[in-house]
Amino acid sequence: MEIRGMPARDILRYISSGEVSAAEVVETYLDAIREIGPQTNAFIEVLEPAARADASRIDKELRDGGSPGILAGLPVAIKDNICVKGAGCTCGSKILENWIAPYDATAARRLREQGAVIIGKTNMDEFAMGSSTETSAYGVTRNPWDLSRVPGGSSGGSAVAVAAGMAPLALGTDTGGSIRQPASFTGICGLKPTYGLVSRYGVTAYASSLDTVGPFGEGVWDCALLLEVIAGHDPLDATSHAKEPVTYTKALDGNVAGLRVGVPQELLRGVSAPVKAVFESTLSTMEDMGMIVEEMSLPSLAHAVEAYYVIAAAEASSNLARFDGVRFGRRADAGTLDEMYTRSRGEGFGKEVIKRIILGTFVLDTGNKDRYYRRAAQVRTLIKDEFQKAFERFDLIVSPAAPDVAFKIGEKIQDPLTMYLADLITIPVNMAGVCALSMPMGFAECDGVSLPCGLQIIGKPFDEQTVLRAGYCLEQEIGAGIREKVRHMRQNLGPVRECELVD
Amino acid sequence: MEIDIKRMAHLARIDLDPQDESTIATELEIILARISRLFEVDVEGVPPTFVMGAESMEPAEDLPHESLCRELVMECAPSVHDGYFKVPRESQGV
Repeated sequence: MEIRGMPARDILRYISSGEVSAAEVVETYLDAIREIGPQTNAFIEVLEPAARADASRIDKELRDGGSPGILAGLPVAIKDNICVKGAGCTCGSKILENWIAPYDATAARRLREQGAVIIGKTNMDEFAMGSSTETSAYGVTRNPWDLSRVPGGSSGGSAVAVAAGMAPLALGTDTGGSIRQPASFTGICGLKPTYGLVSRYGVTAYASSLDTVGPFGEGVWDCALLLEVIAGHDPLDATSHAKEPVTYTKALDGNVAGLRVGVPQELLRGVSAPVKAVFESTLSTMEDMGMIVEEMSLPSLAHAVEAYYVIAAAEASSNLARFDGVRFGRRADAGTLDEMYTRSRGEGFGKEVIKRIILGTFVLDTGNKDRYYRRAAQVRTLIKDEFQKAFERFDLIVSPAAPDVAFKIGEKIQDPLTMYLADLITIPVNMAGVCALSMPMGFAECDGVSLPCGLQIIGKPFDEQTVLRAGYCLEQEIGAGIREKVRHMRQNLGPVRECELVD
Repeated sequence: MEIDIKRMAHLARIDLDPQDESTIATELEIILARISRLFEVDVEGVPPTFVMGAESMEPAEDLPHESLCRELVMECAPSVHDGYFKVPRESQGV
C-alpha cells in the first residue's frame, strides 16, 4: 500500500483500524525526507529518533485499546519558529543556531496531545521576514514543481514538506501572507486563521499584532482537521480568544448556493494574465455552484502594503531586541557589554532582518512615531473598518492568493520593493485580523512551465467554517485534476516506498 | 526623508560593516519613499489600531502560576555564574 501522498484521513483510518502501524507510516515519511529532502532543503532538522519513539508509543497505546487522539500516528512538520521541546528552533537565523527549545509551543503541545508525530522542523525566511525562503541562513528551499524556483515564504519549508509528500500535514505562521502565498506556489492548501483563534505562545514573535499560526494540508479537509486541534483559548497568550471550540471537519459539508462573494478590484491589480484567466474560470465555477459573485471595491487596500511595512518593522525592532547574547542564542566574543550586544546582533542577524530592524527603529524614533507608526495604525483602522462593512454585504471575499506563479530563485531578492509589493494581496487580511484560505485553483503557464496558482477565500472574523466549507465544496468541483498533477509531480521527484500491511 | 543609518544601527545595537551599511541605506531610501505614500491618506479623526481584538481581551487573574524552572532557563544561557547570567564588564577600564 502506498501511504505517502495518501490523504491524511485515509492514513488515520488505516492506523486506527490497525491495518498500518504508526511506526510504518513514520518510516515512510522519514524515507521520503531522506530521498527528497536534499533536493528541496525543506527541513532544517529532522526529528528521527523522537518521531520513531512517539510512533512506537502510539502503536502500543492503540494495541492496549487506548485512544491516542484524533491525529494518532500522523506525521506533522513544524515551521522552525514554533517551539518543540528538545528540538532546535533556529527561526532560519544564525543567532539561534544552537538553541534548543526548553518547552512546547501551545500549538505543538496540542498536536502531541492528539497523537501527532512531530517529524521535523522546516526551513523559513529568517524570522519570517521574506516571501521566498531565500533569506534563511540555512539555504534556500526549492519548489518541487520546478527546483529552480522559490516555494514562496516565509513558511516555504512547511509548504514544500506537504507538497512533495514529506509530511501529510504541517504548521506554518502567517504575518503578511506567509502561509497563503507558499501554499499557492506549491499547489496545496493553507489557512491563516483569525487573529486570536490559535495561541501564539511559544512562537517566536515577528510582529505580534499580525502573527498567526495555521495549518498546511494537501486538501481543505486536512486544514480543517489541523485547525480543529490547534484552535482554542490559551491563558498563556493574552490575545487568545475564549471562543467555543468548533469541529471544523464537521462543518465542511453543506450548501454553498446563495453565498454572496465579493471580488475587490484592488486585489486584482498587478495580477499576471495567466493567473487572472485561472481566477476568472474559478469565479465561473463558483457561480455555477450557485454562489452570487459580484465585483466590489475596498479603496483603502491601496495603502495596505505601506502601512504593513511600518507596523511590522516597528514591532519587529521591539520584539527582536531580546536577541542580545545574554540569556540565549549566539554570543560574540567581546570585551565590553555594549560590544557584546552589537557584535552578537551584527553577526547573528542576516541582512533582511537588520534592514527591517533599522526601519522599525527609524519609524519609532523621536519625532517619527506619530508621522509613521501612528499614521500606519490609523490606516489599519480604515482597512479593518472597510472589511467589516464589506462583510455586511458579502459572506466571503475572494482573490488570487498571489499575483503570479512561483518566481525563479534570485529573481527578486535584489529588488526588495518589488518583493514587498507582491504581498499586496495577502497583507490586508493580516491588517484586518480576519481569516483566509489559500487553495489550489489551477495551473498557469510561465516560461513554458505549468505551475500551480491559488485562490484566496477571505472570511469574517472567527467564521473559518464558511471559508472552509466554500473551499471544500469548490475542491469537489475542481480538485481531481489538481490532485492528479500533484501525484505526477511527486513521481518525478523520486522513488516511493511501499508500506506493507500489518497482519 | 533620509535615514541616518549609523545612528539607527547604534540605537538598535547592531554592528554593521560599511558595505552592508551602504546597501541597506540605499534599499531603505527606496522603501521609505514608497512608505511616504501614507501621507496621501486622510486619517483625520481616525483612531489608530495598535492591538488586534483588544475589545474582547480579558486580563489574566493576578495569581502566581507555574512557569519554566530556573535551571532549564539558565541551561539556555551562553554563560552562567553562580546561577546568574554572566556578561562582560560594562566598559573595559572599570
